[in-house]
Amino acid sequence: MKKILEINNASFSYNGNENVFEDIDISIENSDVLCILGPNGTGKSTLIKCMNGLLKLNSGNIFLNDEDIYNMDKADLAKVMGYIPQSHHSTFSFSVFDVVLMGRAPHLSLTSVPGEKDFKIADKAIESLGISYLKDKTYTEISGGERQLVLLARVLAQEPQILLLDEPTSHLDFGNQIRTLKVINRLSDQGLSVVMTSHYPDHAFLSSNKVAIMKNGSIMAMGEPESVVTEENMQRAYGIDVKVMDVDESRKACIPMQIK
Amino acid sequence: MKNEILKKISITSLLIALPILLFFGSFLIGNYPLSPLEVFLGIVSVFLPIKVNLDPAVYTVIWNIRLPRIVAAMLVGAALSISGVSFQGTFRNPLVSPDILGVSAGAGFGAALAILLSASPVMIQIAAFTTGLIAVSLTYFISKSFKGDTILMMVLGGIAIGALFSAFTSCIKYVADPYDKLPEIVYWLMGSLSAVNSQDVLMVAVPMFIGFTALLLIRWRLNILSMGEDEAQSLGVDTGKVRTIVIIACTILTASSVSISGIIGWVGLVIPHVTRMIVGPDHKKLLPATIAVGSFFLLFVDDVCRTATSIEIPLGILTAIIGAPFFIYLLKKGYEGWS
Repeated sequence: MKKILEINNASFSYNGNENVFEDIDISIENSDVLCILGPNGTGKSTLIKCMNGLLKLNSGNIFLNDEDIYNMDKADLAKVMGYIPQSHHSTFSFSVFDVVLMGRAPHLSLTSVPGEKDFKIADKAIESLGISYLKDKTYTEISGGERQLVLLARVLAQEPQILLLDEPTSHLDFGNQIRTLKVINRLSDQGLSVVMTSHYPDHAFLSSNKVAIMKNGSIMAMGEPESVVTEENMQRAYGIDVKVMDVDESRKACIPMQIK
Repeated sequence: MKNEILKKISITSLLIALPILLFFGSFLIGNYPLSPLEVFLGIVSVFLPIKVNLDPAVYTVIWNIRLPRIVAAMLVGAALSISGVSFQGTFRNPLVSPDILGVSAGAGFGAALAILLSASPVMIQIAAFTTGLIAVSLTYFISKSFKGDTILMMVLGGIAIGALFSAFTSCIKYVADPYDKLPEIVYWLMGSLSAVNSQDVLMVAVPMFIGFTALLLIRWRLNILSMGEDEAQSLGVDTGKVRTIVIIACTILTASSVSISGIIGWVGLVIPHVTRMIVGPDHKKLLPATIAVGSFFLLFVDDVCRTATSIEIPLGILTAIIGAPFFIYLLKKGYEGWS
């Protein structure tokens, strides 16, 4: 398998003396889905932002297809790597199609506007997620679940090889969470790699082939979901008692213990 | 589907046709009445070798009095409107405009200072641009230095910077010669196009052309910039570069406007909202459309200014009288183009 993203010895700090995270090593291959779990404030979102070059590491390297991301042009980086932030806000009431079209930005020069080819790619991205009915709707007026799908369509219009999703399932209802994971699985089947953060250990079982648990700024455990999402690790990471059990032969579930 | 395409085509043709019709119509009105035929012959006979029997005064009125003023009104209206819409997009803030960010007050101070020092028209423009740029940079850095609601901080910072530069302008008025310079500065600050001549228009045409071209070329990127810093960067946009281009282009346009027409408020705030109601928020269509709406609006208001009463009404007063209530109406309506 070809390595697409490699992070070596990464450390980051906002103020220069207190590290948000340190000594992080991660490598992602084609079609990998890595789910990063961990308590609030442990640096998951910060790590995602560093992977994308939005924040600069204090030490360590990040390689994308064997190229150091700090030597890459922003547009070239965006052609390979797509990112969906945890929460976002659109000031103006763009149509859904206009929002998806924004994904074409890295492929267009500073002074050009999207053309026929870009319209086709945006249309294809919208169709592939089954949201053609949203195309002419106003982005600020659709539901949170629909907006998540629109952002996924935008990131697909970017035609990247790897997606960084910061809590793609937060703010979504139960059904939309699972539907989003389904989309992620399908994208991975098509060869895309995905790195996502989540608050739900079950999401690791449902859609990932790799899990990392972050705690106090470093990776506590990393590997296959079955060996990482264990009762013991969950107790260590979150300080709560859980039961991990088999739902059927192919899948496990992680359930909190009685708390009354 | 067909109806929608039809609607789009008719909106586009109206946006092109109305400013052009008003442009020619504006030659007809004024103290010296001209008939459509006189205007037609007066314009055409300059380009075509045809013999016509026109009073030389007709030529003077058309070419030296009305044309510079009509062109100036359209240029200033378009410049302030496109600056407003570009500022709103880059700062993802529907409440900003050249006046609210302090650019107009800053440019006004520079220009007043240059008038006081009896500087040449070119120097007035350069002074207006420099102080306008200083003002908008100060506002931007003030809003960046606060955490939290940057929309509000930007508006408040702009008000503070605007007040500061207005106070500097007051100092200049205080020391200006009350018989000569003071009336000139005061009348010009009120915002008026009555003293515009063809040299003025030609002088601002070049910098304005640069400003319009730069903004129109990068207009689609404003969509992405309006989604926020991180998101725009993750889409491969060099946000610093685009934002710098926008700020400089808008400041050139605003300073050029201020240096020929004084401070004309509200146009840069209200016209972007009106245009967004007509064509939607996509900057690809919005920027060209604000040029049409802005130039139409200011030419219309200036026509009213020079013909409604026997004495001329200063343009800035009338735009404020129209703009302020309209803006309150927009706020009240909870206009859905922004939230």
